Order: sequence, then structure tokens, then C-alpha cells
Amino acid sequence: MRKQLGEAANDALGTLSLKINQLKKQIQAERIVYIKEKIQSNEKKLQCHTSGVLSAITTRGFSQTEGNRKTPILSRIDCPLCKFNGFSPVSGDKDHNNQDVLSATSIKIPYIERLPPYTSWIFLDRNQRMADDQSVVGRRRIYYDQHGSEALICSDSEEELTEHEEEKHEFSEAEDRVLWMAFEEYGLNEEVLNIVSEFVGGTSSEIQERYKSIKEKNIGRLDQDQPSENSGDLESIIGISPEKTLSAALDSFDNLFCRRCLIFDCRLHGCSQPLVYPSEKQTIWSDPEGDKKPCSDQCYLQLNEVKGVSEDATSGSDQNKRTTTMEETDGILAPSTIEEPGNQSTSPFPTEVDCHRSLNLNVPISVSVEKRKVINVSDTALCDSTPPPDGSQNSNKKLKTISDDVITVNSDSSNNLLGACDESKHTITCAILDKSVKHNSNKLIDSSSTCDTDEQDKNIGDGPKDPTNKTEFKKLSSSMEGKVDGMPGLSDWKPLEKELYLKGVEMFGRNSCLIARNLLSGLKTCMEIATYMHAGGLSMPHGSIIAPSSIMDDKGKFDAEYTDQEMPSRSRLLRKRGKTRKFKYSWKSTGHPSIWKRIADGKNQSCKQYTPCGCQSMCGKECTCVNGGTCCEKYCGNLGVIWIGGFVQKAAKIDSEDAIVPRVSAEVDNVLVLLQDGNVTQMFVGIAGLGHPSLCPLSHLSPVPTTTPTGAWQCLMTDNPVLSCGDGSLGEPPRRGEGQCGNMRLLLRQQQRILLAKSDVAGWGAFLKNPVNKNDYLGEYTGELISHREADKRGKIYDRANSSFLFDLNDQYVLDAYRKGDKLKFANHSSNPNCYAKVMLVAGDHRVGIFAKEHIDASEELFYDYRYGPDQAPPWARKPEGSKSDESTVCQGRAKKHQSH
Amino acid sequence: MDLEEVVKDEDSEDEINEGARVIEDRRRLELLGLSEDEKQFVTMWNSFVKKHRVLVDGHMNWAYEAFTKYHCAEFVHSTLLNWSWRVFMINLYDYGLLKPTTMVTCYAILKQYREQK
Repeated sequence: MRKQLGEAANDALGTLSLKINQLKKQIQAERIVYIKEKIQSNEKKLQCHTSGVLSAITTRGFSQTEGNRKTPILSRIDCPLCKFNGFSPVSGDKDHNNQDVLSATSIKIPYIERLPPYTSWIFLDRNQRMADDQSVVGRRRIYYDQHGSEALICSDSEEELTEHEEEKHEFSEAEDRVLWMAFEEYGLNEEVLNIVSEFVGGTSSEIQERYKSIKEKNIGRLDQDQPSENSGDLESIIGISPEKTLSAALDSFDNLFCRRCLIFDCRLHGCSQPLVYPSEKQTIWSDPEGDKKPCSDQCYLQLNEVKGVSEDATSGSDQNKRTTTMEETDGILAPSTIEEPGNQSTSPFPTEVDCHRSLNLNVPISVSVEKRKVINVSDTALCDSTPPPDGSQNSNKKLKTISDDVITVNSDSSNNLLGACDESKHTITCAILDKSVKHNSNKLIDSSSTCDTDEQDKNIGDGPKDPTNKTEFKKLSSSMEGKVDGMPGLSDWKPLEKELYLKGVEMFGRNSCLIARNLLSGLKTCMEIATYMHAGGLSMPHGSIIAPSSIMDDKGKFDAEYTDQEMPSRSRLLRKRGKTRKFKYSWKSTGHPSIWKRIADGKNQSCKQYTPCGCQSMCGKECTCVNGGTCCEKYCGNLGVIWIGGFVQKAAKIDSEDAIVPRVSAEVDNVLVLLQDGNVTQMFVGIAGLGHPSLCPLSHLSPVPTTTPTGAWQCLMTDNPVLSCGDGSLGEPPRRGEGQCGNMRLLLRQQQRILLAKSDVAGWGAFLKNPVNKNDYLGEYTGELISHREADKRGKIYDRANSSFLFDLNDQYVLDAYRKGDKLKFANHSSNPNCYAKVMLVAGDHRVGIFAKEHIDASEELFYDYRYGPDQAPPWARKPEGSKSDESTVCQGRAKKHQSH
Repeated sequence: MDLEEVVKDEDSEDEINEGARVIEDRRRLELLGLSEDEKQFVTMWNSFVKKHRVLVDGHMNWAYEAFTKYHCAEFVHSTLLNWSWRVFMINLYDYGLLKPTTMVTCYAILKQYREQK
């Protein structure tokens, strides 16, 4: 059996070789034909171009004479304008006659110094990471030796010889065809592979890969022929396939968007940065006035104006109460988890306000209320034009009464209960009937007036209300039994729409108007969203419509869930407080040994490159920031805090724990409000005491309310003129609006005007146009960010040329300004300089700033100390004896020129 | 350089060579496999950021509103761009850079423009 199979296989494979040969010949024949055709067509094309020229040549050829053929130069060779014979003066005595030498008067050409050689370089206003193909590693480099004035190849014994990579085999079209035919007919096995590889170049793995890619291409082509059917509608509206999920769409932007630079395709941080989302997002959206207009003609709020008038009359006092609560929530933008722990059942659910009026309801109750309303809606929706049965209207009333009760109960018990529901929305959904509108509204007005009195009655006590409410609920639920109908149109929500809906709920709460207007515009109407919401969408953990009797269970569950969610956070809060009591942060903080050590050493240890840590709650042992000794910045995951340098210092001075304020996004007023809140909220483990440059509170920036922000940006938290945050020179705690943190100058590019000219000492030099004072910021030394290894390699060549553009930045990167940089790269070295360089941490990036060391006049050349180590300096950089040491820059390491090792 | 150029206050380092930058960015984007509209949107945003010096988080709310106003015609007319715009807004919200109020404002801007047409 086996033999037979083997033979059969061999036969088959034998035919394979034959077939491949045949295919080859066929391909070659095709190629010949193709080439022939190509030549012919080219000939024709050429003819139209050349015909004109050819005809011109032939006509001119006959009119040429002999004489004209000679070129002007040749014709002159016998009778030149002037002849000059040279004669050596030694033999001058004998042959006076032959002296034809014209005595030439020689002029002394004044000696002009050479201009320094030009280099071409690319201007960078921000540092840029080196692209991989720019590396010099593994390449042979040519340099120009000044003494020998020849080009030499740089080769070092240390240099590792990179392996000569096997060239990848490029598959031509013909080979593709061979592959396709062979594998399709004979399958992908080793013998076929062997045979194929005799004809086609490349390793067997390459062949296999190629085959797979061809296959995918073909499959893709087939797919394109069959367009998807149901995407047509949605596609025309928003232009994308609805099968694509929101997360996929977000993905493409996520990859590209640089969170730190706020642009796409950032050349400093690269693409595909690991995503770090803040652990607490802005979810509170408050709109005290509310938009009373229906958002569209599909809005459920259609009958608003009729109702609105009546409500205004009846609920005056309530409104006051509500608005006060709204103001409170306005003032405290931070999520409610930060408030006093005395707050019972703080719902982690975001504050929500409906677009009609602001009402605070506990969410679980609202959910159950909604459910009942839902049932109502389905009833009424089904019987469009007929007036609703009295029964349901009565139940409307009842429901409204109950929900009003619920409102008062809750608003009494805790003002800070943040969870809203569209109470009035419900009343109106009950009334979505075109014809019997007024009828309904009258009834509703009645009910609202009754409920008002009810409310006032019930304002007295709240505790005992709960059980009564619950019993009333139960009554209703029993009456509602059996009225559950299937919700129309729930099933045709595409996944994309569902995701958008969820997002909307996260952002705006259960506010279908807002969600419809904003996220799902063009996709779903307000009405549809409202019904989807009532049907329990996806946002409810115990989602679907269930029998009303079990609704109470749900409510209980909800409560438990919410309390579960916020219990841990509260306990976290307590833990953190404990910690803060232990450590009193001051300059000599011993709380963070790693950083303290570094400061104490005072050595030239380069600081670590900052990358955002992804810690969600508190930076613990796994936090990269803690381990690396870098401070958490606003890009890190745990954003409960921002560090404000001066503010922390103040706290330390007065020995209180009031230090940190929750992060806010930038509105000035809110910052102030929060500052006055004296409670400690959270603290980082990883952040050292004061004086760290990353304390630049850039997250506070907000535009002065003019049209453009330029020139009006200010670091709101600093007061006295400081060199920069974390310089050690922070005095009083900062007030807003005055002074500026030094790091800001780098960020805002408030540099001096630098001119280039021939240097007094060597090559080109940088000069100042305007005079500056001590410690003024002159500019930023930008360049390419390269690794230390790369810098070593490049440095070898640079050193030979006696120029050095390398600048140590941190433990991971070196700045190289040779190819890309800015004008400050031309500033020369001096052991007695008038400037100094400093590595600063600005918004999470290390950058090099050049500052004036003393007052400098206009048109003076800039020098700074390259800070070579004592034995590493090239000869021109050697100091004369008695050098003074510069002031140390805390923790940042000295800005120094990189030395190749 | 002329003496005038030397004495003037303009600094060549502040120049924004818009055209060159756009071309460079486009070339880099070509390699990334985005759709045409996404590329266009990316270019629009980058230009806007550079031109109006959007530097830090605090600017984002203002910046996105201004961006919407500036390009509202394009967002209203092109549904694909509109989609990119929407997705980016959600993205920024996820990062915590945009407030929901800003989103509402931006939508309102577009709506206003649409109604004017």
C-alpha cells in the first residue's frame, strides 16, 4: 500500500515538475510577447517626438559649407589675441631679444580668513526621536581627516560587525504564479516545497509565507465582490460600516494620538504609546437651567411648554432647593467620592441632570420607577391615536405622586445624593399621544398640583417615608403585572450604536436628549433612545425587563452594588490619610528614600526618563514612577492629585495635612474653589517632596478669555519670580496670576533672539541680539534623541572633527544636534562662560534650556561650559587652573556634553 | 542677512512653514494605513494645534471648540470627517481632556452652522 501511495505521490510530484516547467515556458513566452509589444508601442511614441527633429536635421544638412563647420574656438587658434611665453630669468643675459616675458606687476591679495565650513542641518523646535533608519550602528562611515585632508573610513576594533543579513528573496510575479499553481493543486507539503524551491529562489519558510500572503490577497479580493447589505443605510449617514465597533474606530486614533503633545503622530514620543486613561474622568455634567425645549421633533419632550408653565407655578420652593443642590455640585467638580465620608451612600454614579429640571434621585429607585413607566409607554405607544384608558391615566397620576414622594425623600435625606432621573421626562412619556395632548396635560397639571401638596406634607419627616413608599410601589407593581410587552425596535440597535449609547450614559447620564443630540445624532432619535433606556438598555446590570415583582429585588441589589463600589474607595481614602499623617513633607523629607538619596549624593547622576505609569488607584510597588524615582505627572493613570509645588510647601510649613487638591481640568474658578477645600484627598507615594521640577503645574493652564491664547498663558499657581518649579527657590506659596514658573518659558518658547555669526574663537558662534539679565532664559537646545550606544558611535566621528553636539539628557537618551537642532548648537564652549545649560523636566519631557549666567549685552557671543569630566575634555576645552564649580541643579544631573566611552 | 533683518524682531525660529510640514506629515501618515478622511482629519488637527499653540491639557476644551468652529463647514458637509471628529471627541473624553459640556457646545456649533445653511 505504501509503495503504491509513494509511487503515486512520486508520479504526482513528477508531474508537478513538468507542470512547473511548462508554466515557466508559458510565462517566458508571455514575457516575450509583452516585450515585443512594448517596443513597438514605444517606437510609435518616439516617432512623434523625433520626427520633428529629424526633419530639421535633414533640411539643415544640405546648407552647410566647409568653413562654417569649424567652431569658433578652433578657428582662432592660429591668431590668438595674445601670446605669452615664459622664460627662466637665469638665461636672461644671453638672449635679450628673446625675452618676450612681460613683466607682470604682482598684487598682494589681502589675506582673508576662511569662513567656517557650512553644514546643512534641519531646524527642530522640539526634540525628535531618531528614526531607526538614521542610525549609524552597523554602517561604514566616512570622515574627513583634517591633517591628511583625505576621506577615511572609520573603523574601530570595538565596533561589532553586524551580520550580513541574508537578502530577502523578492518574489516576482511569475514566481507568484508558480507558487500559486503548485500549492493549490498539490497542497502545502514538504515535497512540493522542495520541488518548488528548485525553481523559485528563497528559503522554504519564505516560500510558505509568500503563499499565505497570496492566499489572503485572493480571499480579500473575493470578499470585496460581495458587498455587505445592511450597512448601506448606516453607512450613508455616518459614512462607516456599522459593523465596525466604536472601539475599533477609537483604536486608530488611539494609536496615533500623543496624549502628551496633543497631536497625532508625535515625533517625540512615537506612535502606539501605551494608553493610560485617567482613573477618574469628567463625568459630571450639570446644567441647572436645563434646556426646556424639546431637542427635536422626535423628542419626547414635545409637550413641554404646556407642562412647563404649570410646573413653574407649582414647584417654586422645590426649585430653590434644587438649584442650591445644583450649585453645590457645580462648585465641586471633583467626583463625589472625594467628599466627606460622612456622606452616606454616595453614589459613584455620575451626577446627572435631566434637560428639563434638576432633580436628585437615587438611581436605583429611579430605575424601578422607569421600569414602570416603560410599561406604560409601551401601552400607550401601541395605541397611538386612541386616548389612553382611564386606568393608565390614573396610574400616571399615581406614579407621578410616588415619584415625587421619592424625590422629596431623597432630597431631604442627603443633599449630595447625586444621581438623577428624568422625572418629568417620565410624566411626559406617558403623554406621548398626538391627539389627546391637552387632555393629558390637564390631568397632569392636576396631578402635579396634588403632588405638590403631598410633597409639602411629606417634607416633615423622611425616615418613615421609605417603607410607605415601598408598599406603594408594591401596590403598583401588582397592578402593572401582565402588562409587560416586548419593546419595539430594541433588536435593531447595532453594536456601534449600543456602544455610543453607553458612552453617552457615561458622559451625560440618563439623558436621552443629550445623548441623541450629541453622540447618536443621525443614528437614533431621542425617542428611540428614551425607549431603549427604559427598556433597560445595557447600562443596567440587571438589564432586561423582568416581572415587576422582582423589581424590588433589583433595587436592593442596586443598592448593594453601589455601596460595594464606593466602599473600597472610601477605605482607600482613610488609608491614605493615615499615611499623610505620618510623613510631614518638607525639604528634608525622608519619606522617599530613593529620591532623597539621589539628592544627597549630589553627583552627576542622570535622571530617569519619564514614562507615565498606569497605576489606577494608588501608586504602589509596581508603579514605574516609584521605582524609577520619577514623579508622577498628569499623564499617569492615578490622577487624583496634582502637585503644586508651592502649595505643598505651605502645607509643610504649617504642619498640616492640607496639601493636595484633586485634579481639575483647568477652569480657574474651580481651582480656587478646590484650594479652599482644606481636606486632604489623596497622595502619591511616588512623589518626592518639594523641589522637584516636575511640580510645574501645567495642568492648570487655562486661556484668559480672549480669542487666542497666545501670550496670555500663565502658570496660575506661582507667585514670585522663580527660576523654575523645584529649584529650591520657591518662597511663599503661590497665588495665581502672577509670576511664572521657569519651566513655562521652555514650554511657551519665550526665547531670546539668537543670531549666528563667525565666532571669535572657533567656527560659528551664537550671538544675542538683545541684552539679557542674569538667569534669563535664552533658548532651548533641541536635537535628536538618540540612545547612549548610538551616541557613542556618533561621538567617535565627532571627536575626530573636534566638534561636539552631543548632550547627555537622561539615562536613556542623549541629544544630538549635529543633524537636527537649532541655533544654540553653535554656542561654543568656554571655561569662563556667560551662560549655563540645564536639563529640565517640562511636562514629563527632559529638555535642555540655556540660561544666562550674568548680564549679557547685545551682540555678545554666548558660551557655556560643556562640563566635560576633568580627564575627558578635548584640549581646547581644558580649563586653566582654578575653575569654579557651578551651582548644582537639584536632581536633574548636570547638563553636560556626552563623552563617548 | 540685511541689517534690517537682523534688527527686526521676527525670529526665523518661530516660522511655521505650513506647506512643508503638511507634506512631511502626509508622507509619514501614508505609511500608517489610515483612511483618507482620517488622514485629512489628522492633518487638520495637527495644523490647528501648531498654529494656535495648543500646548497643554488646560487648552483642550477651548481648543476643540475653536477647532470645531474653524472647520465647521467641512464637518457638516463630509459625513466621514464628521465621524472622525466624533470619534476623536470621544477619545479625548476618555483621556479626561474634554468635558461633556464641551462636547455639547461643539455639537451645538455644528448644528447652528447646519441650520444657517
